[in-house]
Amino acid sequence: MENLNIKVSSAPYIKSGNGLNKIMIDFIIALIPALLVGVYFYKGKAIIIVAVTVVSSILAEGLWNKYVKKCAFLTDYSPIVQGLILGMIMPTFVPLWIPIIGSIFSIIVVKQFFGGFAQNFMNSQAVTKAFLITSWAGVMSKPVLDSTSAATEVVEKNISLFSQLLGQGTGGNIGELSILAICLGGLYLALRGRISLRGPIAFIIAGMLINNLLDKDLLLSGAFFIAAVFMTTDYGTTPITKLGQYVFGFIAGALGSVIVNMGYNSEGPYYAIIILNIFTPVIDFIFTKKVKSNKEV
Amino acid sequence: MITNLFNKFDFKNNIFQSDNKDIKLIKKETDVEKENNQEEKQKLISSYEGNEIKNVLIKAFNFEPNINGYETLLKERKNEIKKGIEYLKTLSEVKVVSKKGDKFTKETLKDYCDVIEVSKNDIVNDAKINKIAFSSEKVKVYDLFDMNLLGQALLEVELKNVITVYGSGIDVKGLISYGGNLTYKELFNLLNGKSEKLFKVINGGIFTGKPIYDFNANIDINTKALLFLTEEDCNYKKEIFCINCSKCVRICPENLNPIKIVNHFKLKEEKEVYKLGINNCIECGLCSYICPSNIEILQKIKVAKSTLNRGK
Repeated sequence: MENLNIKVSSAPYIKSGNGLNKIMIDFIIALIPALLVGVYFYKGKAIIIVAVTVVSSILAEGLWNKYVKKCAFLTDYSPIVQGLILGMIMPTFVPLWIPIIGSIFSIIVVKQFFGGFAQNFMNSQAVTKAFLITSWAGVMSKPVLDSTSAATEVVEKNISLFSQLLGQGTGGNIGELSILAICLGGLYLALRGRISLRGPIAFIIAGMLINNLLDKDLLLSGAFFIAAVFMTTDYGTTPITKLGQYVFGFIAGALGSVIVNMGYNSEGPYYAIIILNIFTPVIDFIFTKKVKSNKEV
Repeated sequence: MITNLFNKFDFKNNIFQSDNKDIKLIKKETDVEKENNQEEKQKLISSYEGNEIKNVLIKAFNFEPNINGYETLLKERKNEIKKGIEYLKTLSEVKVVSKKGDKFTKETLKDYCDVIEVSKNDIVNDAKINKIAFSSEKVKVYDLFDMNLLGQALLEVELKNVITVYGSGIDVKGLISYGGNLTYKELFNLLNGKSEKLFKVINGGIFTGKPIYDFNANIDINTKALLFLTEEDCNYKKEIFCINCSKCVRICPENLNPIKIVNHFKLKEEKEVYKLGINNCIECGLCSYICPSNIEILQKIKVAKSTLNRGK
């Protein structure tokens, strides 16, 4: 007589097999092209800064998990992705203690104090950049070599559009050099179904519109594209509804362009993102469908 | 990959694919061919009468991925299905619905009744199909598998039920037909099942099926599909927190927000739950299927519905 042990559970019986770790691996693959361009132009310094950021993020999350939450050292791959994006928006001329303090702030204060992955209300990398700039303004600003030599080096070059897209190495943070590489990453993520392209497209179009109104060049900087692809699609800090994503992207793009052109601050898109993150619950509430019910009390 | 850009639902699994060229006959070796008694056939025929609803829809597809093989069924059992449709036409108005791109159904049945085509995005929700076909709410929906049984009862032949079987616990895949009263255990042994590996037995589709706990019970006459799954097929993973990825919102056929309903119910806010449309949920199970955090959304919405309706 065979003894059969069959189990009973609730529907559905087979799941799609998605998981948080598979999503994080797709994000890592999408970030690689932009990093490779940065390493090609800046050589050794870029590798050191990005590596220090990633390692300190993993350590900060591991120590918090082990001694405060009392679970395994690493529960998923999310600190790797957050460390990579933070490393990409760092400049190359900073001393090494700046990325270490920055990653500890972004993992522990912005993410873990609020409950974990996707429970925070502001984008962790953008807030960290704003915190570092306001606290250590002198260290984070670009060093000028000499007042006389800087004045005599004003030369106008004609750079073709194609090489502007590919990357010039003339300045900017590590990952912001090549627009083409960032767009390739964004397209890969959209084809795999991890992000939707509504927010990024609205962000870029609004930036170009306001640039045109203020009589500036239509080609946006690399900071715009990083903010568009990796920050307007962040899980947990951006709206869920379709119309809400369009509205979020449009207003953030307009604000970003205003800050860059009228405030002479090249980190404009990151400030625009953290301002709009506060309005996410309101945007979701306005655009959710409500059903009228004749409930009798 | 490109379908991901346009948010279309695509199911990919190797377990539910088979050639489906013909219907295999499964029967016990010691079984004698006998006619079912007239009582059972009369019961089947009379279950179609006595309805006050005058509009009837017959579906030639199903959104569950393991209930497939409708073309082969129509080819092999043409006479029974036509007889069943003719009988139903005497009681009420009948229309047949098929998926867009399905030419075989239209060619075969167009002389008997109207054949309407429905696009791929609308196949989950029965209410939407009713509106497209009849533009009214009260419609009765049947399937080609039901018509096969009804035709057999009318033509006075032995009742042989046709079902689909899938799963890694057995050797056979696809459409089979069996006669007489079989128990689950006998059918499992006839299909060369491996009893060490069996983990779950399900009657129906993977989204809306019912689990079986009594292996020695008789198989119901209205069964359409059976699943014999092993532990590898089920691939159970632990449930973690919601990561706000918005996949459940995109896939819901009624355009609701499933995870928000669950969170508001946990905070005991009844008004908000009604405003978000909990009574419109058709319990299809697609939100639980696609969640990356493995949250059991369907089960929690069912609990919420029964708790709220208890005092009424």
